[in-house]
Amino acid sequence: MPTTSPPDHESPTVEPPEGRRYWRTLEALAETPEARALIAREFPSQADKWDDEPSRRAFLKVMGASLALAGLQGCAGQPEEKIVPYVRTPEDTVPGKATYYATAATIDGVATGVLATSHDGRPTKVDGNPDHPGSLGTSGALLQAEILNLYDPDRAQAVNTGGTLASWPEFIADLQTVLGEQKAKNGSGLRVVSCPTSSPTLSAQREKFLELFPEAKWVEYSPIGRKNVRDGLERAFGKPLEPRYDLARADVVLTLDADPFTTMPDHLVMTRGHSRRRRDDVGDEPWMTRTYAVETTFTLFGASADHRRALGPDGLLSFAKAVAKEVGVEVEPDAALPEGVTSEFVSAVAEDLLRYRRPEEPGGAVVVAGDTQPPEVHALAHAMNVAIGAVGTTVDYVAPTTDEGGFEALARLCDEMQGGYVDAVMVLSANPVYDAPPDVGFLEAFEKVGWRAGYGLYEDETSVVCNWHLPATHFLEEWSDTRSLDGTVSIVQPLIKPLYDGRSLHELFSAIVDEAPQSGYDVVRAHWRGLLDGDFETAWPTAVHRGVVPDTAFEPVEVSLVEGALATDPEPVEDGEYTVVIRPDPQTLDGRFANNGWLQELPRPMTTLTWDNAALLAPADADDLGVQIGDLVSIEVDGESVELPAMRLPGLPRGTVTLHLGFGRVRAGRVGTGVGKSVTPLRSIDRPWFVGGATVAKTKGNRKLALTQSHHLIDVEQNPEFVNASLEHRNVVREGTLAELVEHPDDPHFMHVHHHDHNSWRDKQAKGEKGDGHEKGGEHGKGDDHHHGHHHEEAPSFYPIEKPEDYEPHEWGMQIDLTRCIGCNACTVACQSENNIPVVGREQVLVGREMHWIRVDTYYEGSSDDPNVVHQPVPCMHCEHAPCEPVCPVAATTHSDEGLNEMTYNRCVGTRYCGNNCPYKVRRFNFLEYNESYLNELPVLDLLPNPNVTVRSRGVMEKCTYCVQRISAARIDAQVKGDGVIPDGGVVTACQQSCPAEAIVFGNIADPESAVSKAKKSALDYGLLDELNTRPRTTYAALVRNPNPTLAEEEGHHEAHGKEASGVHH
Amino acid sequence: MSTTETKPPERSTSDIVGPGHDIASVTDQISSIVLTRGTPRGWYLGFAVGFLLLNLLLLSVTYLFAQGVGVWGVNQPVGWGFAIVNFVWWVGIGHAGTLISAILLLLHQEWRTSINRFAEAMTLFAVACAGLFPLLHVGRPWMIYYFAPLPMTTGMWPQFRSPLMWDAVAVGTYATVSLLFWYVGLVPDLATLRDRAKRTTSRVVYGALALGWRGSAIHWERYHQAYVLLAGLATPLVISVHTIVSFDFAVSVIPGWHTTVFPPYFVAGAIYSGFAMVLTLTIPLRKFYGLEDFVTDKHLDNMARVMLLSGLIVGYGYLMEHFVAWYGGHDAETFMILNRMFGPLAWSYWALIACNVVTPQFLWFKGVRRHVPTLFVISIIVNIGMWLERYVIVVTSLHRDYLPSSWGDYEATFWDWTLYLGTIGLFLSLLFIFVRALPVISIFEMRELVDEHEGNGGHGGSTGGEA
Repeated sequence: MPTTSPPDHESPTVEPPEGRRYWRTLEALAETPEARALIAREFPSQADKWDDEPSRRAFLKVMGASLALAGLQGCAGQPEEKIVPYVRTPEDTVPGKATYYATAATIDGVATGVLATSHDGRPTKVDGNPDHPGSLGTSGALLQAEILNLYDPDRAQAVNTGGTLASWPEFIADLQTVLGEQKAKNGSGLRVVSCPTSSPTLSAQREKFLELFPEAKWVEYSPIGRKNVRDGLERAFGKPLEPRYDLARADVVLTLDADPFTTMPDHLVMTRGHSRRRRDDVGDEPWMTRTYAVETTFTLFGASADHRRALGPDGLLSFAKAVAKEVGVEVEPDAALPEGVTSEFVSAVAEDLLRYRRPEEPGGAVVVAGDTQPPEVHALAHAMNVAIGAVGTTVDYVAPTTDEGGFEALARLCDEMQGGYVDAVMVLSANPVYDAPPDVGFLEAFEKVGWRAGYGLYEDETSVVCNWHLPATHFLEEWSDTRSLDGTVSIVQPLIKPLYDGRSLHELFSAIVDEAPQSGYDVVRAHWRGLLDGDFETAWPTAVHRGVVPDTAFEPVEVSLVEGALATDPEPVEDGEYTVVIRPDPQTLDGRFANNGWLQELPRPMTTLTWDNAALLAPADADDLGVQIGDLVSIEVDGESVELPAMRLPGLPRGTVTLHLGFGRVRAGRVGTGVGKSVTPLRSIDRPWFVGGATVAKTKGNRKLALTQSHHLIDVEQNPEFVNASLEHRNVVREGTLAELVEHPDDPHFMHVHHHDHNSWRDKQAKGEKGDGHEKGGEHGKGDDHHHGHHHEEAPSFYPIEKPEDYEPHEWGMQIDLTRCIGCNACTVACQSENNIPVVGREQVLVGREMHWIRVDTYYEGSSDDPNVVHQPVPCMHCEHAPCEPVCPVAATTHSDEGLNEMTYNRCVGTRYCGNNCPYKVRRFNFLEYNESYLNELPVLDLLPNPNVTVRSRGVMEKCTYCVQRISAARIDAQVKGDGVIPDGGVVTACQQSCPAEAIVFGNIADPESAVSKAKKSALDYGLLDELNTRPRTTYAALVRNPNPTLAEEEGHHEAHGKEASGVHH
Repeated sequence: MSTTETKPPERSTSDIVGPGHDIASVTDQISSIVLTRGTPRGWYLGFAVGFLLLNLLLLSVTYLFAQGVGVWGVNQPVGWGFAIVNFVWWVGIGHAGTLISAILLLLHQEWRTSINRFAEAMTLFAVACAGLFPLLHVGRPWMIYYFAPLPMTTGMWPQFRSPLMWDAVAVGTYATVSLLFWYVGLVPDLATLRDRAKRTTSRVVYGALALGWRGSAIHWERYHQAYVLLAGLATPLVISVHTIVSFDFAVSVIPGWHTTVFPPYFVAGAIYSGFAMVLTLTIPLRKFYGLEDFVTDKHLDNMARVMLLSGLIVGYGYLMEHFVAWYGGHDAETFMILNRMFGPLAWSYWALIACNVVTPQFLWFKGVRRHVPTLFVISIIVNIGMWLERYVIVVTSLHRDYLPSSWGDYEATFWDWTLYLGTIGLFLSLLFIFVRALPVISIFEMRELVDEHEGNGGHGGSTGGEA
């Protein structure tokens, strides 16, 4: 109704006390009676419950019940009009059989192609679209978790104004009034703040909008944006560009604080390209990419690198200049190298970068600068790329897909708002109230504007201070389009009707710019009509079906270094005791995924921390401060301070403290609100990522951190002698170098380190199977590969040795390549999504009850200053002689005739003996009813589970099944279509499917030609704890690194010294 | 019948029966506890404590069933915690009774007579407490019948390879045979009570329980056949139960569990804790009811000797665990021992050594064995020590096994403790009812003893029931 006037926006909020920064104001806001009243009006049915702060679990339960109504509304997928069931079933609809649709997910304007699974009209899983250049079929943890976002019960569900329920027509009417006023002023009082967007349709609508309101302004803003990258390229090449790295062609990679494995926008593609060059088949490829990582914190790329150095931000710049000088860039290096790198190291890096300068051939070297590095470092990195001939082979440059303004643009907008030039603001899918640095002063300026509308998936910190809140559609609910980093367009198609009253941005802007508002479908189609090659009516469905619009990628731009590009240095950062290094959290990013339980409970890479953020300190610094894990420390910069629990992370540069964004949300939802603390107060416009001059002090108190793998680190630090004495021999991780592998390709000696007892089953098998099953190339057929150390009599065994024919035609097995695994945890979330694994909450993680079926173990080796890090994903081993099976008194876990170790949930009484007796500790027990709050109390989450996987009740043991439901589906398919034999690759497990690094191979080991059989024949193949005779079906390929031989002495010395000093090993 | 002037015969029984007793005085004194003395205030007090704790058990079990085993401290990797610790502890305690009754009977150890009834009762109550835990500790107790080999439409049988199955069978058999043995031994005394009871209710109840015992020669003959037969049956069970309980651990692959010395070491430990518990209970009981004449210092001394012997065997077991860990050369085993001694739960290990290995060494001295308060304290220390032993085995072994990535912690919760205290409440409640309602010492066997002592031999004059 047009009569609904927006309420006085001042009323729900409180005037900030004089002299206090906005952040405190915001926190105070959440605590004031006014705010409570506001919230109560929005959620009348649960007003008394929002303010509780009981345990998260209890919270979930309490909150759940009151949302039942909202959920019911959300579940109502059927229209109100008379409906008729199928008389004739549509031709391609088979009830119970999943269908797959191509679409795309976008983060800050960078699209990843999606293949979404739909069961009877209900999307249940998202995976990568193999045809999409931004995915190549893989998906990271964030993409996997998108399906939970879709069904998040905390999503904004209706239009409201000042906390009162309203409708879209009411909003549009009010908007028209505002626009009418603005029309007269050419829109000079109109502003739009949006997240970076690359949608061609939206940008057409935006153009129309700016035509209608020429003096209006549109600011693209992201707190974790890529402004530095674009500015750096502008500095180097004279225009803002987006670099695209082709790591599949890189022989040598040097990263300067970059993490091509997680936070960079194209990380899936870079990971895949890189991992394909880190392969172990020595015969074909005597070289694997050599990687150098020099960084200010510990990234996953650094963890996998052959050589890693940790430096502060200024030291990193010095190092970069020294290398640049040596590869021939005209730059004036600093007088001295930073502490921590030697001139030998610089020379070795430079030499390697130049040695692979082969512009005519594929392959070469590349330098990658991190997104958080200042533009000067980006300019330097790309000057190096020019100098080493990387441009055009391992890196090229395309036009950016978005138009980010960075904090500066937002600050300018704030000035305008403060100055009273702005009458109306729309904030689209952005949350600057929460995530803009304090010196932007967004909230104060924002409140000066008379008409504020917030559009987004959640009613977040920004929405709540708007006059209008508008619910957005999830990408699985809307028609849209988007671009990947290289410009390729994907049409976004919905898989489900909007669950709530959300509208897409296209629909919102259609109401503004079009004569008559059109549906999203019509808007997007209208945009592409005429732009697609050929007949539109055939081209359109093809593009929608494939998920990519052909030939829409941008052409690489010719570049040449601009004169004086490297003339200036950035301001020095390090000043005083500590430098704060700020990073987006790998899982919540800037906080936008904060309400996603899967991601909050996913152990952060390197730290295994869940449900919290921590101040990461180098162990030596932590010792100086006298802090142990969980002790609270206060980090203070210019009067702003943040108090966080400390964590000791080996390998951080001395004098830095790494903090992650994305925590301390005050209005994220029942999952994300109040998780961790926001570190945004320490950021500023000028220093968004590195803040020098910080003081770190231990304060009173301690917060128990929910780590999934804590004890290892703590013990090793406190009791190195006896822990190491035995663990060194455990051989859990086998690791060697390429040189060693080349020397003994069939039996590298590092496969036998400390392997004194030759009673392991493998040794027996090597001998025993020659006579019988080996010709069939079964699981254990390694015999001939072993020239050394395997000349033993067959050891007597009480166990019969299974032959592959016992299992024909299928015998399942897996191999995980530790060289390829980057430790990103995508597998864990993919498994969680596929197998309906519940979220248990912080309290349960604290007592060690996380439910993940596949976990990524992290081991540190070497000194705590410069550790060697290994990631090892551990799913169920599906042991041939599974210790869990004979101890179950009720036969609930048994061996299948295809070699799987199966759990029969219905039969399980929950003695937990199997879990105790599992040497790998991969079994997970439902200690409590972990699904109750989701499935009984939040009906919308009923739509989430995979219908092919049982949802487990309390008291039942569960574990990895090798995705037996996918095996069954493939078997049925094979039986319907042919002889019942599943072809190689016919079953892809969820973890394998999501893995960007292709580290997981799964298949039929009864088939000697299958990929997994071949992988298991590798000399690098080993079974975890195989001395226990469990005969695991999941095996590992040993970790191979490719260190530079010229650095062996330096690092050997370094390492020996470190070991002596701290005694930290595996 | 006074024998006060007579010198004790060569084979002295005077140190196992106080002086001045004849058949009548024995019967009077023992049966009076039940029939004539009334209920002392102390009994009410003790029973109140037990009953209060019993209610705590009900509360704890109710909450457990409502929420799931997640209310306990169990987790991954420590899937078993207090429940199994307590189970093994109670089963261990339950060994003394049958051992005393059956094995010592077969070995003609007459001193057993005055303590066997009480020890058997204790056994039954301890096994009852133990028997609760397997049911309570499973995730889905309502499915516990899957343990039973029932003919079901699913066609599924239990998995007989699992030590937990053996366990269920072994403990079940032991409980059944112990109950029978105890009850058969009670029959003549029930007849005595029937005959002496004044109140009709008592007469009816005792009469029904006495199964028509009249003390005829045929009754006595059958009684002896049955009793010796049951003793013979119970004897291997004493050994087998804890052997099989030890298999729960020994059959696994977990360092600290996977140990071949476990069966004998568990049996010794069970006897050790059983005798300690008998002492803990007997000492106050005999004081309270003035039974020093029947449970003499000689009895206490003998039990202390058994404790010393079994304690030494247990100590040897600990030593062998260390030796094998070193001799076996498996790094995980070595680490397990190091972790026990120096890891985060090292306190439990050293407390265990102090309780179970150091403390019993005092029992080498006769002065200690005959000093009742000291003996009482030692018996309690040994009880604690044997609980700690199970804690060390269950928790310390599980919390750090093969993969360091999966190491965890264990912390018992409020509900762990209430359940444990609750079973102590059940035990005490049953015990107090037993003391009040049944003769704590076998009357007829004491009569036999006194009779033999007087030189009559056999059952002369003794009819069991009042003539």
